[in-house]
Amino acid sequence: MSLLTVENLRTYYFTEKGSVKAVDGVSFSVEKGESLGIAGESGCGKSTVAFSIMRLIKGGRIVGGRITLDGTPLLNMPIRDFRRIRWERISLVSQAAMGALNPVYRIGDQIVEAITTHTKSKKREAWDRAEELLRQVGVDPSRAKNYPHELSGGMRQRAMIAMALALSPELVIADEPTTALDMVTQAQVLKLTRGLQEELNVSIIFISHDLSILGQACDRIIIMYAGKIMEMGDVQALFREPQHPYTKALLSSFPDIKSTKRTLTGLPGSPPDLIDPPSGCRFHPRCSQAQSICKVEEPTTIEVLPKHYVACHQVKGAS
Amino acid sequence: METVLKVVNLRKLFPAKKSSLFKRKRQFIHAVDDVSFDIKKGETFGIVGESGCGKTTLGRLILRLIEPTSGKIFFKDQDITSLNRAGMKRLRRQMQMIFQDPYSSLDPRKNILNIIAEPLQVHNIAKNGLIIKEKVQESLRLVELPTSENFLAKVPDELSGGERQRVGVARVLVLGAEFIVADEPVSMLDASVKAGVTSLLMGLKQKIGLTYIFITHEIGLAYYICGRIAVMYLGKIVELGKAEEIINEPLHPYTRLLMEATPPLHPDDKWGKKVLERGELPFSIEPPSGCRFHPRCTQVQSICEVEEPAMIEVMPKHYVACHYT
Repeated sequence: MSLLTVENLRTYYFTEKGSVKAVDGVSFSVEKGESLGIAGESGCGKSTVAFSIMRLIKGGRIVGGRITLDGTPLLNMPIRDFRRIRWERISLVSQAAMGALNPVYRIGDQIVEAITTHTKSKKREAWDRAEELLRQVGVDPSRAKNYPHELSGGMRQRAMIAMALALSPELVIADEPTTALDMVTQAQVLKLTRGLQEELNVSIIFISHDLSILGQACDRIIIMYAGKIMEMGDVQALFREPQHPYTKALLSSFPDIKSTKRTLTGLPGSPPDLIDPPSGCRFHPRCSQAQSICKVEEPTTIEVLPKHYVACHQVKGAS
Repeated sequence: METVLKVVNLRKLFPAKKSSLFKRKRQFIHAVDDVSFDIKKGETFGIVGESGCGKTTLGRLILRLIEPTSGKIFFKDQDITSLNRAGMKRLRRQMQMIFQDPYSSLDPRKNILNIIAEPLQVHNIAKNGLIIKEKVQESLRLVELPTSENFLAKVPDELSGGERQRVGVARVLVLGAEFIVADEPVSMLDASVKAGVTSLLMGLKQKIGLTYIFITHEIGLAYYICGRIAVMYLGKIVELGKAEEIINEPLHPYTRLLMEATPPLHPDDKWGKKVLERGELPFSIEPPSGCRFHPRCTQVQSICEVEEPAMIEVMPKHYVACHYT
């Protein structure tokens, strides 16, 4: 059985201008010990998927769908019970490490608090565990006595990872965990995350706009566009034989240091307004292969190759 | 080819706060320290480095948006460090900057017409409304944006990030600028939009003969668009050469570290293995002694701690500042 399943998830935000269909019918699953990447540009709904799983949606609501963890439905669970799932079984590492840490508490105290609120551990034990966790993420345990502003960006992000792992969750959702970091620090944090994931056999949902990072950090990748999944497949297959025109365009917009120089092509236009999304396939206004059917009918997701799913009228499945 | 810009021993020190009441010694942040290079007409010169390496300060110094502590800057053989305000203002018609953040660099209360027309008024280039509008529309065409009345009346809030950055470019082109310092011009844009703006910038270079300094933290992006690349570390250029050479045969240990930290696009190509051990940028006001990279360097020898390496030409037009290259 999959660790986490998301079925037909729909999360909308409500604004004065209308409802923003940020996530509109998204289905996928996460296996035990797997690292799943969700890629897409800003506004594609990738972070909303993360917040929906954590039930942390603000200014909007999950209007439909089902999420289960080990078979247990999460969305209709009373919030008091769900708080035990949050951090204990599913934890979140967010983008802004400075904002996510409380500036007036020492790093160690914050990890201790996470542990003592959720378990019966004594403070002393929790502190030892905090130091152990910091050592695991490559931070000198004596840093537990420091305040967040005394740490560098990379160390703060490591401390966040330590906190996310404090209660030995089965699933860690990492939402752009390295975006604010420098190249070298980013590489270090990513390698650390990958190593810990394999060592602790924890599942990870890795959210990023940067495909090259996901290519190194994940086993499988989902490509999202305008609130929908366009393509989903094994990392090798997706990079080697991308099927969806959007995936192809996205891949061609990234420079590759291992290839010879070429022109970055990119895409015309910009992502659509999700209050009134395009009819049919949401990608059709920017798609170079769009046909008349793409404007009127939404493509269904088909399995074009084993475990490689695409939602596009122009891609013909093997079956 | 004609040299457009020449930078000689440029230095900028920012005074740091005194750490204690009794300490008399003043400390300085060495943001840009003894940097020299020159740029030929039509070049795209990349300045690459991590945050805090001084790349933005260098860009601002070149346009004299901030004053250098010492050193000289020559624009077309004219020493611009000695120019007065009026002289500098005249020169700015030719040298302009594109900023990183298209959200905060445009006045939110002005419409597109007025935003792009403003430089024309500041520099007294055109007063007649019709001529101004014509010039604005001309530069909008260059950046491939609509020129309709409807579009001219829009405010920045109504535009996407990519469109805003194009407006930022139009604003520079309307003056007829020929030398542009682009400071991370696409780093805040989405991947698909980023590539579009990047190729626009490159196309413009061909079309109207621009010269760029392209500042970025992404060495991969610099590789694709720049002819030459200067790699900066803690205020110093550590390596300078042709983009292909820097990428395919990085010589300075820091350039190699940056290359290892850059994920290749395809998962088949494995990422460097040594990145994990090299620590982070030192967090101190005064830079490390000797070679500034020595605390993070895997090839460090005793000389590196005491003596600063000079920039040497190790291959034709390929310069490296390292004792062991």
